[in-house]
Amino acid sequence: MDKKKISKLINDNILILILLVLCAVLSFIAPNFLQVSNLLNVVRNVSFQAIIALGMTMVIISGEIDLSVGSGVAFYGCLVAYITQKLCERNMDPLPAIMCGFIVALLAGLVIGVLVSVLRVKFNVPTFITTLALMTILKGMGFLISGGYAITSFPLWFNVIGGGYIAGHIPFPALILVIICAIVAFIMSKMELGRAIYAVGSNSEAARLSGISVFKVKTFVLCATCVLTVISGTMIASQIMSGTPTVATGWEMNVISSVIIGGASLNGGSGTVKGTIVGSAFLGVILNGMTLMGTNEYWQYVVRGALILCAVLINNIQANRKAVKI
Amino acid sequence: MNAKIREGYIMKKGKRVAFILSMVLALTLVAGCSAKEEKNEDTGDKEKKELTVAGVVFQNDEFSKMMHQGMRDAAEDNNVKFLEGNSNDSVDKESELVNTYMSSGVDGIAINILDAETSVAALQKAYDKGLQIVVVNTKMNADFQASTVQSNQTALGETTGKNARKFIEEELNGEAKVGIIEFATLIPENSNSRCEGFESQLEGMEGVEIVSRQEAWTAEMALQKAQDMLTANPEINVIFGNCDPNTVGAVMAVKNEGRSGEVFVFGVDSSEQIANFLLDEDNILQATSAQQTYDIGYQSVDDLVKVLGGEKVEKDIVVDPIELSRTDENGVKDYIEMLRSYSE
Repeated sequence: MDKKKISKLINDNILILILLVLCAVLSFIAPNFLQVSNLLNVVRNVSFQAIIALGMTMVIISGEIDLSVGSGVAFYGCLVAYITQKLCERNMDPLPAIMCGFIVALLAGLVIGVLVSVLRVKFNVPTFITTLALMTILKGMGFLISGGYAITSFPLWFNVIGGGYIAGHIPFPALILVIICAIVAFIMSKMELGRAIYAVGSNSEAARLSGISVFKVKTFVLCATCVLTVISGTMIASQIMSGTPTVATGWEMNVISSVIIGGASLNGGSGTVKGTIVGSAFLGVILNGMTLMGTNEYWQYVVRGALILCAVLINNIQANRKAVKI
Repeated sequence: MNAKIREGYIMKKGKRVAFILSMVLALTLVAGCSAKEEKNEDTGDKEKKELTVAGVVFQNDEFSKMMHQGMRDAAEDNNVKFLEGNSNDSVDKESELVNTYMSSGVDGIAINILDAETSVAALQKAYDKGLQIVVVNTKMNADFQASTVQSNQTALGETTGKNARKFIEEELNGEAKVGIIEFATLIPENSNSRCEGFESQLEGMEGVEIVSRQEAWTAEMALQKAQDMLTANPEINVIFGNCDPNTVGAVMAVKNEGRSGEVFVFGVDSSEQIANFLLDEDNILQATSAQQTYDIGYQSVDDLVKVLGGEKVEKDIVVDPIELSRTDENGVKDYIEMLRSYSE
């Protein structure tokens, strides 16, 4: 392989290389980092936010943003728990009760996604504003539904979804992540819809003039993110076996960070599923490593922020170099 | 006249009219409000002023909800108006709330403060303006407050620690590697007191070592930290979670790791979920100490109303925790019934 090809390979995968270097360093300084059980735990913990980050990737590529995902996780988890509780009180079996709760939460997510899109496209209200408001609204609704208390209405087997394993080794959330990742990657790379999302994010007016329905594209990405938030919220409720309105505080920042670290631009028009997954893994590995090393919590904040900044800086330098060459 | 110029003229005129109308509306509102205030003051001279008290908590969890419930019931029993406030873990929000109450005619505030030092300034100002203050559940470094009603934070840790010591001696042959999940970043005074109380009960036990300390304050955060702690230190066989979410997270981490019967959890605080953990057959949670949150909330507003009526109250009221243990099944069931009665 000649030097140019090697250089291109490195440039195209710089974030993966940084992640591998980080893992290599942690394998020396963080106790039991490379242990299979630890790596599987990292995969599990990363999955909850990475699932949402896949939706956020599409949102950011389309030129929008969704700040309500953290509150959404808490709200949808409480909604599933609440409906399960009410139906079980009316002597319904837990499985159909949970299914009903999940379907209602999905419908709620779809309604919210459509609402945000309508406000954006028809009334020109920036999604930053709408979802900022939704962040507070959904948080409040989570507390209203639960009364501030943890709703513990789930049967024991429900813990499998968030806390269990497939074939004894693969965390169930990781399996969900793989499936969703495959679907989103297919949409973004093989389908016309994916190309339309990039086009709308690059220049929505040009996209509209070329016959793309901007409203349909934005509705799709916003609804998809809401649906993925419902899935993640249900998995978290399963993991802690309750619908709790205080979970997922600050998740929107982690999710957006994953997408940006992965190379997406907040201006829209660029980003990849691969980048987002690597970005999510990057954040998960940092957190895991620092916990294994027993790092003081205050330093964890500083180090995490600094590493995110470095990763984004390196990505941007790479992107600028590519642009100059072109 | 040219259509464009005419349109511009109409726009300008329209804007002027709209501006004048909005100024008139604003002046009318101000005049109306002033008249209402004067009317209220006139009425106030004739009738006895209804007392208004505010109850401020700092989180949206079960603990804070129960505290508010107690405060609300005390206000109702004393026939006073009650305003609920929540500082949401934010010192500036706490200050803002106190200032708002100060300027809106509230007579007293029962407040679960965030910090023994930084919460003082705003409350001092409120006190200087004539409001009475009762501090709830955290000691404040000041003297102007009428009363402090709090859980004995150290006793919370000690109660659990005593149970942990007994368990380690009887079930683990006096040997234990302990991991602690605490919330010192959030409220250092309370977190540290609880941990000190817990650790004091393990003193002199040569076979006991604290091998890891991690921070968390939500259940999913505590779960993740507990899992990582068990990975880094697989020899851990006892975990202490010093608040409700940390207790829940620790128990679920042990369950999800499949280490029931190997790792045992001791907690602080209680909820229906935690109480049910004590009844679960998986034998993970062994004991916890519950704050009498409802009673603390009730007493704080009750004391506030007494002080506003000119009565004297005890300056420092410390409420001991309720001990809940796997070995006392009936006690746990009674506690669950009590919790359910509060939320009805």
